[in-house]
Amino acid sequence: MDLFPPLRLITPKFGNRPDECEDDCRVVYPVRLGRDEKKAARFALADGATESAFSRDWAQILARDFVERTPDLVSDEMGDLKAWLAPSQESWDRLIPWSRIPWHGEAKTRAGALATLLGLTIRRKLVSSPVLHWSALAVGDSCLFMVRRDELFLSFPLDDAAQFGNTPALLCSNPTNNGVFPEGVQLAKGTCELGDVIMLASDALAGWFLTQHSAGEKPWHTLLNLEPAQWESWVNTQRQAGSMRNDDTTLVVTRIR
Amino acid sequence: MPYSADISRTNPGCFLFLIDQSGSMTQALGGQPGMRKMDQAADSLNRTLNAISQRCSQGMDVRDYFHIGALGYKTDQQGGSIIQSLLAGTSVDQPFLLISQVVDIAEIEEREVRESDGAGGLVNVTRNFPVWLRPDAEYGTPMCEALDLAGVALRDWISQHPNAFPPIVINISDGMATDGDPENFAAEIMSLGTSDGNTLMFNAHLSDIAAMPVQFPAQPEGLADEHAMKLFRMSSTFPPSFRDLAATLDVVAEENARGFVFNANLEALVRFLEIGTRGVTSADLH
Repeated sequence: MDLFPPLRLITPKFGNRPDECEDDCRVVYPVRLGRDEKKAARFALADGATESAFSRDWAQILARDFVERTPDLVSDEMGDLKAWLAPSQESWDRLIPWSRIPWHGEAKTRAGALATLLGLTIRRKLVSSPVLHWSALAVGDSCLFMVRRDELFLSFPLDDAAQFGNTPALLCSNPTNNGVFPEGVQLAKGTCELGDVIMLASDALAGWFLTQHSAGEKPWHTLLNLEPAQWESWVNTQRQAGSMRNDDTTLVVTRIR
Repeated sequence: MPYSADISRTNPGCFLFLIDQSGSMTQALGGQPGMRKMDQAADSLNRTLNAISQRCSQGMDVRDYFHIGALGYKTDQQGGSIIQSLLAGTSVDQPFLLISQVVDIAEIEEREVRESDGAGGLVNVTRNFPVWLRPDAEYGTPMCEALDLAGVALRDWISQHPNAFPPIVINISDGMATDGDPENFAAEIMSLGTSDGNTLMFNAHLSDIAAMPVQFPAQPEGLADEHAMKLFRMSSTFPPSFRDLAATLDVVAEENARGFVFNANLEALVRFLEIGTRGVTSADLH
């Protein structure tokens, strides 16, 4: 088993410039999946909170660090994850122009930036076995969907559109403000099957997806049939129809082959 | 559902402040020796504008999620009303500025404050405080005329933003109008609306009575005097979304709670508006 090359689609909130987009996603995958971290496929989607300062930078750091120095998702020791977060927090701190922050940004910047993080790894456990194992970490409302035999097999960490709100669990760039541990951090793992569709979606798209699914639809059909060139206009159509919140919107999709 | 419009740069919201600058505002604020009502009024406006600025801040710059206006009302010695737009570069006819322009005209004062050192102790630190309004008060209280002019400005704003989150009017006063009964004028303002709901009118009552401060009551019973009760009646009931957000911030706002405070700060109100994803830590702005 292997992966189709993942497709990444991202569009900012309507009315915002692309460089204001606070979603960031990174994908790293080897030609052939192997056992160790370097030969795992790694996906990360981070969504910076609009109301915190420098959250776009924080989302970029979190997504980058997840794929570049992937945390141990097998152990469920939250202390390990806190330790994993520390260098990311230091990276954020280093890029803040502390001496030039205007008065209105001081308190927010001191409080730290906030972002969700959804991370996924897919790897082999045995070189001799074709079976692929996935592990996921989630803080907040960016969601992982897995579709197996044309049914929604996994919706993680949220599985109901009613669970989306304006105060999701968030990772903070300021270590003293990370009240999210341990309740806000969720881990999941399992094995893949041939033909599984894997999707990572930021909250507006994930909310749309789960609303459609609870109405008896199979929203993955719509997403899989979208040409990349249609993505932005399709998202805007959903926004205008009121079926998707106007927010930065990201989709990463792949399939097990 | 009303009061659910997206607040964004393409669909901004609006705050219009009305500041009582009449002679009675020179009296001491009840229960707070050394603090005059006019000091508290200026402080309330400065704190609330600071809170709005901080909510719109992205760190280095400010996103224009709101238009802001502020009208002061007083009279001259002969009782002639003086209604003035308090933000530099504005007029009573055109009182609104973008929040980024409001940020630019703030005067910054350094003040020493005591803050947590993160290890259970307190330390003195110097922080920047923005100031837009200095205490000022003389003669009569033409609140009716101020509300009437506010209505004109709001109609104009609403005609330009018919689908926006409804305007929020914040009146800071001791409640002693000298030009008639302001209740009908307040009702008129509260009847103006966008497609997302009627204008929300909130009142901060500053009284010389040394009664316990009150924040967002649901009933007028127990309020200190008839001025408090009148301003309570002139205050909008919180939309459910305000109460929900208040609850997440540990602010008590029961069903039918109104946007009314007695000898207390109103700035918590700014946190009841949804702009986008936020964390509880970022909402705890100082």
